[in-house]
Amino acid sequence: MTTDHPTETTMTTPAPGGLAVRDLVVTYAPDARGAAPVRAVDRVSLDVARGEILALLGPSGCGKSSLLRAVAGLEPLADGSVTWDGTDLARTPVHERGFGLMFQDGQLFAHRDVAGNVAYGLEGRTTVDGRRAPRRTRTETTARVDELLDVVGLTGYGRRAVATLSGGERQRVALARSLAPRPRLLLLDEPLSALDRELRERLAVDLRAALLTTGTTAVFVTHDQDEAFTVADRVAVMRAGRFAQVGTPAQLWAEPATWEVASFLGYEARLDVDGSALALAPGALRVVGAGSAPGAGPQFRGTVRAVHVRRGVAEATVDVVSVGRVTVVVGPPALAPVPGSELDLRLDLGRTAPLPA
Amino acid sequence: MTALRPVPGEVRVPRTRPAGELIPPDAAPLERWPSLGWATAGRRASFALAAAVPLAFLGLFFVWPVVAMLVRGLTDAAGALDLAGVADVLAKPRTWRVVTTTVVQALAGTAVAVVLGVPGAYVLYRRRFPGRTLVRGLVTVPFVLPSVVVGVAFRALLGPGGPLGGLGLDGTFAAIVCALVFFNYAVVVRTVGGFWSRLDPRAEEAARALGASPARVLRTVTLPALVPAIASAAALVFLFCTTAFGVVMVLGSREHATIETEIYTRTTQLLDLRTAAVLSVLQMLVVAAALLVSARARTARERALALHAEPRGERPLTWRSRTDVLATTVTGLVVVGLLAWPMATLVARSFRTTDGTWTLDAYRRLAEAGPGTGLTVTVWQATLTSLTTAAVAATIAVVVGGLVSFVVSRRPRSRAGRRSLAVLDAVVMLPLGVSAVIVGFGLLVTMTRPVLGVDLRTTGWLLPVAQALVAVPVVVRLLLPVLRAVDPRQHEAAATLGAPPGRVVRTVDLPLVTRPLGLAIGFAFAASLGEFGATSFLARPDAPTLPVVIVRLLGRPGTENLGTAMAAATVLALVTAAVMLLAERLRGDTAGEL
Repeated sequence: MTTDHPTETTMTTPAPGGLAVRDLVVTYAPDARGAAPVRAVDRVSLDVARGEILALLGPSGCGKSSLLRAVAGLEPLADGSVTWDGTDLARTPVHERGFGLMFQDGQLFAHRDVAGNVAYGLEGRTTVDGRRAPRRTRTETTARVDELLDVVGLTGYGRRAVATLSGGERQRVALARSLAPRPRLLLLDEPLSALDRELRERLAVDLRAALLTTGTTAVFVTHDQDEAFTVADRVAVMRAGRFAQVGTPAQLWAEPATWEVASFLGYEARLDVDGSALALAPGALRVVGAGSAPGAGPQFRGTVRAVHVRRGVAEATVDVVSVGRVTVVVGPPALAPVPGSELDLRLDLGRTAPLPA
Repeated sequence: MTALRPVPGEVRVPRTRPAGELIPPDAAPLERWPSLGWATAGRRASFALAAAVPLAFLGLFFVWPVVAMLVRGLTDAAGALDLAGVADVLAKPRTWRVVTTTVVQALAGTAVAVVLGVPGAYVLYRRRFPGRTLVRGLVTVPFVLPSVVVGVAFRALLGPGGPLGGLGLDGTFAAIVCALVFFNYAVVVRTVGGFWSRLDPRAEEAARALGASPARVLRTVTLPALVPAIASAAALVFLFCTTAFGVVMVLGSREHATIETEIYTRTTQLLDLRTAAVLSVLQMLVVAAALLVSARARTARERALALHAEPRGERPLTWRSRTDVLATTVTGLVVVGLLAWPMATLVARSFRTTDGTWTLDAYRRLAEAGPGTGLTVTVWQATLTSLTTAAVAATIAVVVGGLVSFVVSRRPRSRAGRRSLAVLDAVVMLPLGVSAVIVGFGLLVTMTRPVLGVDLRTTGWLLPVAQALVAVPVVVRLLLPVLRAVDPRQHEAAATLGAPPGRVVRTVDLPLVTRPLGLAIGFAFAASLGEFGATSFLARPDAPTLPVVIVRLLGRPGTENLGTAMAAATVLALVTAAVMLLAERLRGDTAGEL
């Protein structure tokens, strides 16, 4: 899958500072005796500059969490290296890496209140990269906890018991807890996946704001492309233990490296024209007629299979010969076509992306 | 071993996988960690130490004495295995009579405990009613009571002059079975109840919606789902019945000799070590069979998926439901008739003379020693000895058991590591299945040389050590499930926040364990307090423990001595109850299942 685009599977530009992962391999023992070991991460290289937010985007089981855990030091490396500012971290245990990790389900400490959770990483003597941090005074800790609760929008929640919080509030506390010790890198393992959609969309915006406010370098794992595009500066699309493509959200959307990447990003059909290929986003085909300019662009004819209303707008699922099944935005529900009827469609090039041949 | 009380209620909820990843989190990576920094090396060293302390303790004070006893019994003068002697013992009809009595008694006790315990689990864990917490507590009391006390209580009830004295049940098979059920009822109620309360009620609701009657739902959905829990509880009860000693000693006459009492008679009165050793091996085989069944049931139980961490589907008790009425009637009869009555009789009879006048004479005699009582110390002195010994024993048990639980709860990445932990887990449970009498006698014959410069026999350390052996499995069964239930990602979260391994243990594991730790201390104390099998060998004649004194008093002629025994048993019961009450307090306000 990735062999066609070797330049995009790795990012070999030497980073001036920050995280550098080289040829990382993580393997798991097979479930059954005698079966072949599973390569969860297969020779992945990656750089994250200081202050950058990178998203690892991929479907379930693509190895993105394993990669994240390997960077944190929670999984042993079968091969390859993880460095920070050029220093190899192979001998640095998890608690001395200065890398924070936020879990999908928060993993808050139930026996501590909200402030106690946020303060956890501020208490005790912490060692980062061989240097011992001075112990914080109680006032410093309290101030930092309050500051972080402000950042995540939970001012005054300090004394609340963790069990009384909603799912979204818990994740906010988990974020504050991870940010409090000022990790040089924050790793986020599907931090929003356990929440419902509306909350997820709202928190994604808040999450990016919090990371920017605190100037935190972050690697963010998700299987939701909208979330990745909202939060990250750069997105690495992962498939089967390797990177399929790495780039800014705009780059990925404009030039998906393969049809597989395109379809994962949300492109729903592929159109081959004169030896070149186009990926069609939902709505790339429009109904000819009312409200659309005549002329330009190739025309298609499709059969309506189903009609549904989403947020007040009717959308038709249409089978188009030589293209496949696409979504066509029809407009007000009153104008919705009957299933079985035919529609004349025109291609909107602005909703397409070129695919490599 | 004798005084060990079951620790039911352990229900393992299957660990859930973090969503979104195909690879299970506990799948072990093939490769080793790329480096072994000093931090890791230090961690491994402390881990090895944590494993070595309990292993050394068990090896020195359990494995060695037991092996020494078996070697003594099973070899001839030249040191070769004496097969002819073994065959000789196996050919004796008495041997097989004793084995049969043991198995039949244990099976009967188990069957009755299960039949009565399942309705009890339903009422106390699946239905809500005012005072339920109190009844749950009441049901729990018997299994922390010293076996000697239970024996005396049933004699008070069934013996001459008792309320049921006319039935002629004293010293019969039925009396012993009743006493065994008295002990183990709570095992079934709590194990099955704990499981039942976490069972997803929606399967039952689905069956009801499909048109099944309540009885059919019970038969086709609920009971099949409970089978693993029932089987597991039954195996545990069977184990405790098989090794019961104090109860059978007090209640049974010679015709009801079980393996355990026969070992005692053979070693102490006839010095027939060969028969004792053969019987001990037979007992281990019976127990091993029970443990095998238990392990299988446990595996099956862990496979049962429809479990919730939180109790669900509790409904108020209602008189309109036939099931509720039936279960409540059965449970009420058991609680009042089988559990409360013997204890109430014991207490009442300790305040009365045989002609029925109320008196405090028996309690006055607790302060007396002398030729009439056959005692060298007063009962109060024995109580003090019991308390101090049990305190030392509980401390040892909690330290050793705590270390074992901590070590076994870790999840090593290598297959070999996981396997050695499984072995350690099993070894710690061994004292459950080996005759306490053999352990006690074995300690007496092996600890002839000083250990670490201390002569354990003359300094009185041997007794708490032996009692601690009994208490360690209890401590492990209480702490291990809690530690195992800690999500490994909690440790990871702490580590990524900069906490070194020591702080992770202190701040993540320890706060969760404080609750069961208080309870474990209580159970360990109670188990040590009531231990009789090994104690009967190891207690020094000038400093007997309370159970030893009670049995001595029972063995003396005269109604006065019987009255004193009942008063002493009441004292022992009260002390045990007080300890458990204190332990419940230690547990803190966040009450859990156990």
